[in-house]
Amino acid sequence: MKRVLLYPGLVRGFLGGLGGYVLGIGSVMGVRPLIGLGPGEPGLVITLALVPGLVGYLLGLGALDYWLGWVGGRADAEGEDAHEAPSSGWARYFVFNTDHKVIGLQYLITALLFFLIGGGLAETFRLELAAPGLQFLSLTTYNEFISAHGIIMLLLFIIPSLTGGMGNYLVPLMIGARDMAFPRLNALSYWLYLFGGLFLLLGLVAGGFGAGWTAYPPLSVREPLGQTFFILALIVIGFSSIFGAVNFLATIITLRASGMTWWRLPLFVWATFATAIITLAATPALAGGLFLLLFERLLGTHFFDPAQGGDPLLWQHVFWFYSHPAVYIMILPAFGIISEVIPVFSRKPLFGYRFVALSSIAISALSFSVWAHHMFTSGMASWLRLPFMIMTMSIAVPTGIKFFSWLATMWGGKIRLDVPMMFAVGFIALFLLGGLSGIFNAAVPVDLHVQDTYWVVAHLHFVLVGGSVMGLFAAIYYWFPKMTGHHLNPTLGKLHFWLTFIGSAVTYLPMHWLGLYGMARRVADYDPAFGPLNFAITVGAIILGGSMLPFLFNAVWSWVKGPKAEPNPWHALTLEWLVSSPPPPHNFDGTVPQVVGFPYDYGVPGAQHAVLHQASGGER
Amino acid sequence: MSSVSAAVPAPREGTPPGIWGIWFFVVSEAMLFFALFLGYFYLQSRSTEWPPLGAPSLPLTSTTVNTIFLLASSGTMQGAILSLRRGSQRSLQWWLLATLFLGGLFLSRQVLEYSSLAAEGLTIRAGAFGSLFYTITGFHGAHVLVGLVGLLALVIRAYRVGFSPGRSQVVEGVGVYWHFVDVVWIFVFTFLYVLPAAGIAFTAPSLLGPELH
Repeated sequence: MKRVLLYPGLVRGFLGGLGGYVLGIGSVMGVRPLIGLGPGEPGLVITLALVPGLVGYLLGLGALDYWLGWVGGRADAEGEDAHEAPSSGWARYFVFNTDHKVIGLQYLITALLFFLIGGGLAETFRLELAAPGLQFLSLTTYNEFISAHGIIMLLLFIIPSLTGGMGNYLVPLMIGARDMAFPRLNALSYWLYLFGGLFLLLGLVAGGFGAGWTAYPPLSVREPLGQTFFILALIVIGFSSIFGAVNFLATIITLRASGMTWWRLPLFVWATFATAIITLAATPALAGGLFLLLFERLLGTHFFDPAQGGDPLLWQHVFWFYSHPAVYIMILPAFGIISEVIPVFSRKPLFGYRFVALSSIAISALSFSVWAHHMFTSGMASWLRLPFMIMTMSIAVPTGIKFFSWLATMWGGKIRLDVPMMFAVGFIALFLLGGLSGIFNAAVPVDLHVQDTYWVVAHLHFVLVGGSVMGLFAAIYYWFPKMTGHHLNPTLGKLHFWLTFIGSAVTYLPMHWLGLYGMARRVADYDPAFGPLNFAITVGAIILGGSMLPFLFNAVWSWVKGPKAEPNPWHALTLEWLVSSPPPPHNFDGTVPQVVGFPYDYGVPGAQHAVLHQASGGER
Repeated sequence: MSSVSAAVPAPREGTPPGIWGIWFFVVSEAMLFFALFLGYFYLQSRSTEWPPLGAPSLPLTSTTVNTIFLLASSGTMQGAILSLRRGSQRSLQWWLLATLFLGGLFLSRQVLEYSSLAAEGLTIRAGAFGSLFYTITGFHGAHVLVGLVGLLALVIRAYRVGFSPGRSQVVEGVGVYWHFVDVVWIFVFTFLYVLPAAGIAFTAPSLLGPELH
């Protein structure tokens, strides 16, 4: 017991965080009367106390130990091995561990837990929406549920699982490195994410936030205390993301193994690189906007108040300047995953590698030029609509390049429909539908009619569930043997796939009609004429919810008792498949990787992407 | 196969990861200020008068003096970096202390300026103008404060054990960050102080949206 409480890790971190918070609240409330102020509004106190709370949390975790020691005069930062030897067993996932493989799994599992919470919220309000009239949710609670569903799925599940989870686990292995460039910063990113995520959930009980995941003022300025938790949580998670992006960019640039030129990089690494560029440049804009909203709520500023020189559209511009590029953060890693899976299971080289690689960079760049397509009906000046419409349509081009490359790769290949490939093909079908409805939205005359209707809900779910989530599951089924050393059961995997595919179709296809017929989004009640389609959607949602059962059972059972996995069960070429399953602690222990060829020469006799040299004595 | 295995690859040369890292971090911070400046010019464009009628004028002379202190602190920071490359621990310590002093001077003078402006009626609640002024300068000040904490950490270590002569990713990283904070100030000073004082404003109330007032 004493060991659990005193050893740096999760428990001590939470105790530290709690202690810091209590200290902070006490200090604020103690100091204020001394300088002639009243007790202070709860939001302000919670905000100020966040700083000592966060510091206490990090100190309890042991995250700051190395740097505090460094300031005090311990060994020089450079040259010292920043990589902590991981302890074995499950306990290492509950401490401040700098091994990228541990961090990747921490991210993945935490994100999946948030997925279940976000999904549970959806199942609940879909039950409410199964029939017209209000059944069991009040209007306020409904708004809080849909807002929480949105923000949890986007920021606590999709981005962390694809970038923090798969990105962290795979990138060092794929480039032949022992770890990320900044392993301590990497661990810090995860623990900040956990803190922010839990802080957001706390906001749900501390008064809730019902202004949508988009938190538009003036509504968000007037929402109860939970909205302040929302803002603070997103700021903390934003830092986590930015540190992660810095790490990915520095790692990919400086730690590639010998022979790993840019034109021999696996496409998942290209995708992660492009994603990190977006994260680095866009997330700070969100942070800026969040502070403006925080100040509007707590300090009485006038950024969004027209009577005092402000403008509510300022929020929308700043928010979407981040949130549109953010959706490419959510899909680019999935594109990278599909590019990895399809050549392996078609036994054919990837078609158009350089085009696919550069299309990710093109998407990165273009993604910053389209944000106001979320604002066509906002009342902004009409002339702004045209340039944003044109740029939005143009982003279909690099995306289309990828699609044609994947299809051309499969054409004439020897297709093996293992579970990862099923998810990849399902991705292509469902994301295509989402992309096509997106082109409709891009056209201003269409958007004027479909904005804020279920048409948009259909579009976003086809790209996010049909796209990002399918991509994530393709990745999980593909790399699970590598990560855990065990095989997933393929029959349960196929069941999971079909339930997901069918469930998605039944849930999201009818939403297109609902939107065109005029059902607004974010409503708890609707015209009885929309009843039958809504009922069908709820049935689909239950199928989707059910799809998680075979997956969860499969994942837990197989990790513990599944058949042992060999190093390269899929006969793939990229570097992670050259080491054991799971990899050794420092990835390439005792060997030095050298890249000698293209990563996708499947079906080419004698082709090799990389070899492992035996390291000479003295090499770590 | 034997010719391939004979050649064990050499480690990569070039800019160390830590320096790439700090530059990328600086890019992200630059984007934060970019977003704030966009907000500043957006709300300026939506107004008919800038600065708005009745807003107290900002103290240009005093802030120019402050700017000189901050620019000087960048000079002393560079002095510290060059001392370390030469291997001179004493010089390093003095240059770091000088940077800390000048940065602290800048920050305290800015805080004093805040209280005199507040007495004249410019508070954070004084319309969008007041909100923008305090938020933007406040964000800059917060970045200066973080820089001062970093400098203090370097000073403590410099006095306790010193630094190995040559290049240190941490010292140079703090240097890059400190220069960045300086460059941001030049933009803040130009956009918030100099342009309005020179009568240059970008007001176009119906350009980006409907008239607000």
